[in-house]
Amino acid sequence: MKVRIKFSKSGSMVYIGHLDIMRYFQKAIRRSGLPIKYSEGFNPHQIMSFAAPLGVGLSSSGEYMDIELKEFVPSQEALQRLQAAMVDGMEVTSFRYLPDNAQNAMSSVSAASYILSYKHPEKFPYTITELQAAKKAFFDDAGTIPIIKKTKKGERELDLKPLIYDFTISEVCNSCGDSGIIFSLLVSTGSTDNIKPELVLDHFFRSMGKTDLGRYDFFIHREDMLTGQAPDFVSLGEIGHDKE
Amino acid sequence: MNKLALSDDILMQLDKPARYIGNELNMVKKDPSKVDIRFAMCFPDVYEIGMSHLGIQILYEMFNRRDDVYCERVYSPWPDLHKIMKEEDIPLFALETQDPIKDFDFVGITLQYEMCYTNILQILDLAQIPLWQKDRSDQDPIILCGGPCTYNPEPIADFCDLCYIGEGEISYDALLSLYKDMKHVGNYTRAEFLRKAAQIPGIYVPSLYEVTYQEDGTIAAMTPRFADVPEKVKRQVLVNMDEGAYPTKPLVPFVRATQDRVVLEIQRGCIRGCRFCQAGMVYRPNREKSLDLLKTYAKEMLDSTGHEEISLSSLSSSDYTQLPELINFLIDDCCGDGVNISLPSLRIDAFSLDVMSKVQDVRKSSLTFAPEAGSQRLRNVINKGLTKDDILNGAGMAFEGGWQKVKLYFMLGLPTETEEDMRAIPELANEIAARYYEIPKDKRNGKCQITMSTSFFVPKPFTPFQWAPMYEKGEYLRRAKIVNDTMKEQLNHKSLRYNWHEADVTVLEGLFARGDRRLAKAIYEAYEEGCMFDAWSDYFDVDKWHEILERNGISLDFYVYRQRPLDEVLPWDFIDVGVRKEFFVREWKRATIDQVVTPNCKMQCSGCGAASFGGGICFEGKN
Repeated sequence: MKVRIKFSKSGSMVYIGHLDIMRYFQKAIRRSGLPIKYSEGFNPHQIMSFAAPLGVGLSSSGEYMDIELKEFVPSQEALQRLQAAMVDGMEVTSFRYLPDNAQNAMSSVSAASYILSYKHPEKFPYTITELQAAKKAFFDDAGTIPIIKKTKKGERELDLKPLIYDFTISEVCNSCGDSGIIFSLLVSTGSTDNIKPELVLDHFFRSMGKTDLGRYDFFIHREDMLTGQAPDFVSLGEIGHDKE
Repeated sequence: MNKLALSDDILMQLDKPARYIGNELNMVKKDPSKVDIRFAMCFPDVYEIGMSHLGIQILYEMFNRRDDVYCERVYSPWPDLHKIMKEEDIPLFALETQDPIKDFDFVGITLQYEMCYTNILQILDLAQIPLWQKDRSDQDPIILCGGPCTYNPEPIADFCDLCYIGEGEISYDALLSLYKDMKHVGNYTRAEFLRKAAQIPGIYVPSLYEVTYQEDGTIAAMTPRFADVPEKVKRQVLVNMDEGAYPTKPLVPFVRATQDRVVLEIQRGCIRGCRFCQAGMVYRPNREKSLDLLKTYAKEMLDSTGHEEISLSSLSSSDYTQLPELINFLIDDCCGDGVNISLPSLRIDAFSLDVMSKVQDVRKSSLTFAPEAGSQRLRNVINKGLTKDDILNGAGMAFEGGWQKVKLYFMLGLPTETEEDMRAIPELANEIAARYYEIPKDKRNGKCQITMSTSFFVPKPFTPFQWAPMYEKGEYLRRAKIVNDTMKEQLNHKSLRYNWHEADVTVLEGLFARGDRRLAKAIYEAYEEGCMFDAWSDYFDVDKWHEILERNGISLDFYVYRQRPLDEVLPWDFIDVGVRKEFFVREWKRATIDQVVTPNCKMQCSGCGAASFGGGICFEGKN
């Protein structure tokens, strides 16, 4: 029985890397007592796979992992048992049974949506109007966005344009009366053409003449991961059904 | 978002920021404003090492059972964070509340090995607490040390307010209550508290003792400064092991710790009495936990952590009376889906081989023996009961059961060691390999692999070898070379491997192990000049250390290379560990003159003195 689990990651948990999150869930599932399936052999491991690793420092409300169960447990009950095994900052939000022929999360993910904001707003003295005008030139009106992408093997040319499915900039006011700029991005994700949102913003700000961006200039939140093709993406969390 | 002491900008620069954020599973959460005592429990090494230590988890559990105490943890910031904290003036914080530990009531530091001494100073320095105890005010926390190195705390005595000698289960309640009462009444001063604390059994307050020296540099006397300060500090012992607190909900770190498993302490102390082994002496008498309790703990801990592995902790697991029952229980009742058992320190015999073949992949795993010395003569000197027949028979059985890899552990530089003893190490390994090749070719699986490792012997306080000399680095390496050269002469040399320990750090370890208060200044200067993480070979700077020792007039000839006379006053003589000095003298003579073994505690009582604690093996079967 294949199951897709959706979870969120926030607070201090953003500093826990992907490999440690995998170990964390292996132990959490053992604590929950859910009847997960194990591989054969002298060192059996849980049948578990994650949609896409989340970088250290990023928060998320849309992470997914697929597991296999030996026997049925109602979705609500399983969700509660798993949630009881969580630490602060980790929340399990959905537990859905997948059709037997469903592709796993890792191979089906094709896009991810992100929200980014400045860590140090004083470094970005731009008005919302300036930003939106620059975005129109950089993205909306551009036929291509050629970039050089550094990979493990060297550098390669890449056109960002078809890999960015949506890009909006808005201004929000928080409860303190401060205003903040929010960047929303929907970008290609997966084993081929995996686009990091900060890469897009780096090139965007370069187009504005700002070239001194550091590696960690934005708070980045992954909202969700999606499958399918533009413009008909479906959330990974929409696949399958709660079963009681 | 929960509060963090370090900003996002800093955390993102660090290697493994998870070391500094707390929030681990089973972390204790309390409202600090609702407790009387805030206690920072520190392991002065990196997080992954410190989190693997069972002792801290026991004390964490024990302290936090008290409603009036909040015990939190702190570990050594890695050099990347160290630099940032110094530059940005960030005070060292505890993981739970992320509050600066300088505002705590106590900072308890466990001393597990001598090479962490500069890390103690790093902790105090980053915490912004005065390094020297004499410079601390009533507002500073009480700095308290415990753990095995406190069996000679003298090299770091001037940095501690007090040392706890023995097992934490006994006297902490009295110490904490004394502190709390003085604070409530309003008559707390550091000096007055320390004076009263010195009267609690097991509590040593270094500043209340004066040490005088003879002209030749040896100690003349160590005298209490006041009449109400005891001359001897008695080691504290938990007589009934079932009565102690145990962490049935241990912390589970996010980053992989060295010990990433449930650890079940099955007993304390050891019946064997190996003459080089400090743990075998200072944890006497041997005391077992009851089987039923261990069964309960095992289940609870696997459930509460979700760990995939459980391991037994003790000095010699094979000596646990009900080991077969315990292991069979673990295999049958605990180890369903995906739980492994790891079995350390098992004597190789039919039982252990049978068990091991059930829980591990025979072809991949290796068999471990610790003969410690190559020849029977030297094994008698060190009182290691293991004989060549034991080893060859054990290895033979294992080879027939499918094992191919054997690891052998030895020490070089033991008292009375001759070239013959050194050569006996590869000769023994060769015989083990030969035993493997006795198996018909069609029934064995290629070559065997026998790995010998040697460390250099370091004499430790409260052992029969506490008077023994050490050797200079060159001599250690000469001995390792003899082993290596002899190995190459062996018939089966292609199946043998040899690796040896660093000699530089061994000499320093020997210095701190048997040093006195006069070393403190050198440790201080070493830290000021950048030494820390000395236990890590990447960071250990031997040249700097030797320069500092020389500058401070600290002679390795005096502290390390000298055979000490049996009647010399030793820096640790003020501690009463229960095992009497006369026993150590007797054992030293049996080792070096008679060269005979002493029966273990189950065979015959040797009258070491540990019976004075009133429990354990000393009284079993004697009612």
